[in-house]
Amino acid sequence: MQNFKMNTYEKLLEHTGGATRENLFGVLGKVQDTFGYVPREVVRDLATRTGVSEARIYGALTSYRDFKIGSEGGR
Amino acid sequence: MKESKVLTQRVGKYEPLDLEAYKALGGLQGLRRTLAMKPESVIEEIKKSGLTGRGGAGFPAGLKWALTAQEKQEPKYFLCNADEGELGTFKDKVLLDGDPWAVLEGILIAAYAIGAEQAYIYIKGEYEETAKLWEQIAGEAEKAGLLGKGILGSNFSVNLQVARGRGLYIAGEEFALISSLETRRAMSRLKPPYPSEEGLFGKPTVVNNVETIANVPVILAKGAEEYRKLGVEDDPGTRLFSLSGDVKKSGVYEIAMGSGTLKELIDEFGRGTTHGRAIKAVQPGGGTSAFLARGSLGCKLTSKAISEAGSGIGTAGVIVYEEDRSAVDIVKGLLQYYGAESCGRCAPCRIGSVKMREIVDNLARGNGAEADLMRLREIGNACVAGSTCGMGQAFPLPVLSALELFPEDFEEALCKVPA
Ligand SMILES: Cc1cc2nc3c(=O)[nH]c(=O)nc-3n(C[C@H](O)[C@H](O)[C@H](O)COP(=O)(O)O)c2cc1C
Ligand code: SF4
Repeated sequence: MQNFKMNTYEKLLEHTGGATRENLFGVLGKVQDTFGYVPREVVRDLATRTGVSEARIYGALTSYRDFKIGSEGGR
Repeated sequence: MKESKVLTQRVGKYEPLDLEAYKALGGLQGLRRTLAMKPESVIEEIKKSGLTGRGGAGFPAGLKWALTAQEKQEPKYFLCNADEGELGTFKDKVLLDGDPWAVLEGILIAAYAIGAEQAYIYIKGEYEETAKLWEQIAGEAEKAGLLGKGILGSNFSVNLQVARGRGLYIAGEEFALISSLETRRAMSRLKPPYPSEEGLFGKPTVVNNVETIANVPVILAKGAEEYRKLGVEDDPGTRLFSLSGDVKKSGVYEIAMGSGTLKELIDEFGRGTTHGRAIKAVQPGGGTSAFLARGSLGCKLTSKAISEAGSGIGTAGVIVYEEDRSAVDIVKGLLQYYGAESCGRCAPCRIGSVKMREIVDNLARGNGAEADLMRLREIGNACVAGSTCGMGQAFPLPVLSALELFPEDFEEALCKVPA
């Protein structure tokens, strides 16, 4: 992911007091609202931070109308 | 008929972020009293008030809190349901935008009473500005010592997370809301266990609607006895009626229970129907409530009277339809929405919602057959009887009641030549 995006994401995490299982849905929402989609790199990072598997995060994200998943270059 | 502004008394009277103005208008009295009481006594007060849920199901709030408080497991969670997805319902938004501090005060009192240190508010995705406001409210509240550790100098601590819904109606159902906040698909499930036993992350949880919660500071500030002076014995307090459809003036009106009739609400607050035509039907409790025909409009505005008339007060979203509308078209519009919202858990709802939508679409296009009416009834009844949650149990009700009340509209659709 581009650096400026990673910086924005780090700031967002700081603002929410980190990412935990308890606030993961809200954090994903803030990522979506900030970037217009949820970058795959972010999913990977959040999975590591929260211990919630990537598969489960994708399972959730793809079931809602208003989440979009993307990766750098192509969404 | 008059409005009784209790929950809406401060709406429009202060800048939403201005906590000082909220205090000057009488805010925080309920919370201050609460913090001087034992949690059990707070729950007792809510029980005495007779407050019932305003999110659709009408469950007694005090009992729900007591069941959760008595659970041994820790931590406990409080969820404020601001998903407001029911058609014809837009009253929670008035409170969220117009008196957010009162909603926050209610959340704090509830969390204190049940022993929760983490609360959530789940705001409908479409209410983007509302969600932004609530992010700010949470920030301001923290600065003012209303969130975080040691609230107002007491030893009570609670945090609030603001989450936005992501475009699914079913996410407003309490179990679906819980699974959404667990970062799962929004799906309901069988109960028991109830959220009070196994809620968010498997822990005891209370889910309350925004309007329910907005009643809480009022009850704690005035006392249950004073609160009960408005409304009727088995339906105390006021309700926010969202009035829409074929009326001249749609809006949200706060009415003391039992102080008027459906007809008065429509005539006096709605200023009558849009084109001055007679009323064909009304849905008194949001888009999943059964229709009431013109003859039932004298019905008092209480849960009991509306049930006895053959529908339900639900979310108190009153949708009015003029005489020239065909019941087939109305039902088609409703199914357009609900027919895409099943969570998929139960076959009758998952398949039935799509099938019913198909059948009604066909009927409306003039491609229907006599047998379709029977199939609609069969599928609708199977869905109501065989579904796990309120979605499958309720969305067929308007269809079934339309078949009952306006069979001639369906007959007419059968005679229609396909376009
Ligand atoms: C399909 C469906 C959607 C629902 N949507 C909402 C909603 O948007 N907001 C709400 O407060 N309750 C909604 N409910 C009701 C909740 O399940 C729950 O009963 C309510 O939030 C409890 O709060 P209360 O007791 O304060 O009313 C919905 C129920 C169903 C079956
Ligand atoms: S009734 Fe419908 S929405 Fe409710 S659990 Fe069953 S399939 Fe899901």
